[in-house]
Amino acid sequence: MQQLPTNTKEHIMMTQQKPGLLPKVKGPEMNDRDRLNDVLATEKYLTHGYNISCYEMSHRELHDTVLRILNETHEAHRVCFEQMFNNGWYKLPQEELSEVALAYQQFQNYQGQFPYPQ
Amino acid sequence: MPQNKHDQQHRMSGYGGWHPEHMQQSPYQAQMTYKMGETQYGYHPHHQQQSQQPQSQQQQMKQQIRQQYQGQYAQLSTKDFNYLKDHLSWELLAMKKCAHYAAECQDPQTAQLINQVGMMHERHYNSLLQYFNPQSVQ
Repeated sequence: MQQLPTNTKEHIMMTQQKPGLLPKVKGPEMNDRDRLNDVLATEKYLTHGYNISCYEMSHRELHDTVLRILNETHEAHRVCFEQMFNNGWYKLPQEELSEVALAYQQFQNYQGQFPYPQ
Repeated sequence: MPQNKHDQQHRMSGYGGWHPEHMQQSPYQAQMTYKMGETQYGYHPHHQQQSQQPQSQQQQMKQQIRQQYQGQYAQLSTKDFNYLKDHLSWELLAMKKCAHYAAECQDPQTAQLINQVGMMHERHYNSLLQYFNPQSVQ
């Protein structure tokens, strides 16, 4: 399994699609990208269900089992995402640095509202 | 009080309580077979009657299971039980979907990944199903 690059720059650069993975002319039939995307959506749906079960279950051992399954389902979701990303099936537009810098200043000011004395 | 009769019927059912057929049983029948605090086995007039009626094999098996565990309770709350049934159905659907997609995939790497995910769902199904096993949850 290929690893998702942790470097932000690499993230943005990997929007180039790998050649030959998808049909050149796309019709109404599902392609590999659609299929993997649907599996990704299924994993999302399942984690949502397990998350609710986790805080609703009264049986302790059952709760632990459900929590383990929830984690594994999250992991499967992540692996599917990474595969899609590595194939260049995900586009991630980069945020402007000035916007990020402004938000940094704004939320730094909010630190003055912290209830715990530093 | 029909509400109470329904409750009795539901509690009585113990392990077999989930089945819709059971809910169709008249409150009268439920009262006949339910005695507070008693685990009941063996002969019951109306069970005998029912087994003489023509039934499919599947229905007979359901009847047998109901009789076997009548009056006993699983270590599962109704709520937990209902959540579990939902999860099992979703896991089954997910593994079927994965197997189907993997067989259709053009890229072998994508097919392998989807198959791995499908097998994970199969494992999850089996782990959850253990909580329904009467031998382990009585």
